Amino acid sequence: MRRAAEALPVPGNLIRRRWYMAALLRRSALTLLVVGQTALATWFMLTVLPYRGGNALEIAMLVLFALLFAWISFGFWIALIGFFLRRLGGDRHSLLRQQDAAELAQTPLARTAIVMPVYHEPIERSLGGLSAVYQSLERTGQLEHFDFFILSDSRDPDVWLQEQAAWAQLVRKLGAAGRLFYRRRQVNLNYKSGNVADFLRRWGADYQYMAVLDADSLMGGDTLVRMVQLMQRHPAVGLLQTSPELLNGRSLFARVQQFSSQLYGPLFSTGLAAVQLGEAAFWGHNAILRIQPFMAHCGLRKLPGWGLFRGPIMSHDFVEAAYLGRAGHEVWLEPGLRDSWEESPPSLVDELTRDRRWVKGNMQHLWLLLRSRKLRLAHRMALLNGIMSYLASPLWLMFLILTTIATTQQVLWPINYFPDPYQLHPVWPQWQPLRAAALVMSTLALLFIPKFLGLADAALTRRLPAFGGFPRLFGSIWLEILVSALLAPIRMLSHSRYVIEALLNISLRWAGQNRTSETGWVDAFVHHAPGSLIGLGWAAFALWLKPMFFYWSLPVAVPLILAAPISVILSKVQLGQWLKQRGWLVTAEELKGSLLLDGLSTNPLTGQRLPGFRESVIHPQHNALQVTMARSGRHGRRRKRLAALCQRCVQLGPQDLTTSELSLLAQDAESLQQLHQAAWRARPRSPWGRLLGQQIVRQPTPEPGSAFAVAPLRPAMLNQHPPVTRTPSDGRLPDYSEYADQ
Amino acid sequence: MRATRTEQALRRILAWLSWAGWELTPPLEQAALQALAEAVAAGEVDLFGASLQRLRRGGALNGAEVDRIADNCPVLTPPIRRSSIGYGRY
Repeated sequence: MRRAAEALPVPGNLIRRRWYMAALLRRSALTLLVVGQTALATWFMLTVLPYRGGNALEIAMLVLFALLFAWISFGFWIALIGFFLRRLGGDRHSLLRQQDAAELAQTPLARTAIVMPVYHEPIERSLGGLSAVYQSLERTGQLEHFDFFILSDSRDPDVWLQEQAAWAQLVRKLGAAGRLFYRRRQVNLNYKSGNVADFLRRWGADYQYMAVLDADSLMGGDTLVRMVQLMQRHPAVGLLQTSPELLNGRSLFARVQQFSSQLYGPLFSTGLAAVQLGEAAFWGHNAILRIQPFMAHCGLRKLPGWGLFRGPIMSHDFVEAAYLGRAGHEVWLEPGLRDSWEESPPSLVDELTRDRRWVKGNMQHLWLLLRSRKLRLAHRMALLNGIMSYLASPLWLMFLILTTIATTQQVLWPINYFPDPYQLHPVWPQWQPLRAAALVMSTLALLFIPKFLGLADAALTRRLPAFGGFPRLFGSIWLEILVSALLAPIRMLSHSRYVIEALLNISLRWAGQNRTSETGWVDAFVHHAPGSLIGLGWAAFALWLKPMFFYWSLPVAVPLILAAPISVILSKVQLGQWLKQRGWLVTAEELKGSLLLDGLSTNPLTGQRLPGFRESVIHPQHNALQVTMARSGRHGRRRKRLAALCQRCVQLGPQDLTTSELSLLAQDAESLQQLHQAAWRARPRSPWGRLLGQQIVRQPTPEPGSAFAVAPLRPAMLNQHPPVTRTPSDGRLPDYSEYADQ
Repeated sequence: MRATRTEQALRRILAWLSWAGWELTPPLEQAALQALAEAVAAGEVDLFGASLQRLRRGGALNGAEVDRIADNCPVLTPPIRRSSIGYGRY
């Protein structure tokens, strides 16, 4: 492969590129602003502390404060830069503005693969989204340049048989034979990056570019065409990332996330893109990449360290961007490329479940940050940024703990007027509540000013009607602030736990995971109970210690105590829809609609009952389809093993076989045929006879169908397998949950 | 009363035919009954299989939708063109 890498066109010297000097200047200015503001705030904090930083406890508090403040300050300045750049009509150094629109539109396209890796995803949504992208590209008249690949890593045959059936239906309905493909790996190595690598090894040489979609991604055809054209015009660009916004939120939680992503998101993404320029990060999806350099440089070795830092890289995207940068290729974030979407988790519990995986992936980057050679500084900073997204939580928690210890010392311990043994004059420790309040207010200002900049941006770009008009938008912002304030301590405590788990490479499960769209009360109480107890204990201690400290603790303690009801209420779809009907938390696409989103709502798979293992065995048309797609010609020991499994399945029923055994049968054409014949000849009281008997009773009327549009079944017994979730829950599948969204 | 072996077989034959894509017209039902009667008379153990075989032999199942599935099934993947991946050093 080294030869292949050497054969690549070498991009020009980075220093000579025009954007690089602008990036250096901007990064230097941003560093000065963040460091300056943090230094000022830390000095102010020093004056607030009773001993003015005169003991180890206060020094530790100051260090933590500085780190946390710098983190907040960075976000604030990024939003501010984004706001001002949007006032100037965008960043003149952005990739989109390096040629005019007419020139770009004239650029010829090249062969591009659109890949969607899936692992136990809701099939109707993921393939329905892909169908909307397909139709959108069809409308551009440029479909001939694109092929689509569903890359499945699903292990449960009930899921992947449904995926195959849905794919066949989709191909038929879209007329996409020879353009829309389905590939399922037999061996799942290295999570999602391994799945993409498997695709590249087999078909990468056929394409110049690859657009990566997540299972919940949606991208407009025009956007994809423009991305290919940009890649064609800028050969040094190895990867082009769009800034996806959230859509399709139904629960209150998802709608709040969606609202904030659409109102504030453009500011942050514009600011971030302006600072990163050609050294941006890869977010894993809604991006296009140049296949040749990606294949040459971005294979991911297993980490050679210990504990968490040993084994496959879980969060691959930042690392791949860093490797492309190391090889001299540019990585751009282009917020000007609109019509790029993804979905929010429906509830807090779902988000925290996802974050648990992300925390592990990001903490692994510590090793790469410190040990990887020749990475560009900007990409090291991107890795640090990802790490800090989660490390900020334990730092905040630590700060709260130290504050509690300091207050306890002040109240319960005798005052030490001479902390330094050689001092002549006594030190009079005193808290400065007013100064402390001012410091808190300034911190809150940094957090909340970007939100009102979002409002100003909407007003100045005449987008107020797109958010339901000024009064509703203003109210929605306050509602979002309230929800964010309530969620922050809950996220902080959960993320702290995840970080500790990740660094110690242990799993401290304290509750089951909620997989439904709404969180149940019992699930919520079980999930949040430890956090609520910690919050309650802390608040009670604060009250006992000092009433003023109790009041200080309330903004953190109250959300922790009420975490369960907050979690349940936010997950309510009805509440989200009630607010939507009244024009609260609405977004532009919801009000004005778009062809792309219409494509999602007219999903050809909606309402289709897709066949799992049992249906694929029993139903003649489903069976014929799966037999056609299955492998045949197994001989020798494999055939013997399959025959034995088949016999067991016939005699004892599918419930007696493990998921992997059922998978083996389902991917073998002869076994599927044998099972079909055996099921229809089974004695009425045998497992298959009973399944079949109940089917016949429940479906007395014949329904006309075509080759793939098989009549929807209405099974009772057949439906005994668990509903499709993003992660299997039957306990028999390997722990592979690191896959999704990584 | 529990269904007899023949009743079970008839129920399955009709269900299979309808799920396989045939419209259960009176002539087809008649052919199915006839095939089953012959299978019973011949003392077949596998009434379902023997009846379907007879139906096929008699030409009642020609042009079946289920038989066209294999021909109409799209190609899962394009032909493979192998290449390799370069692994970055840490």
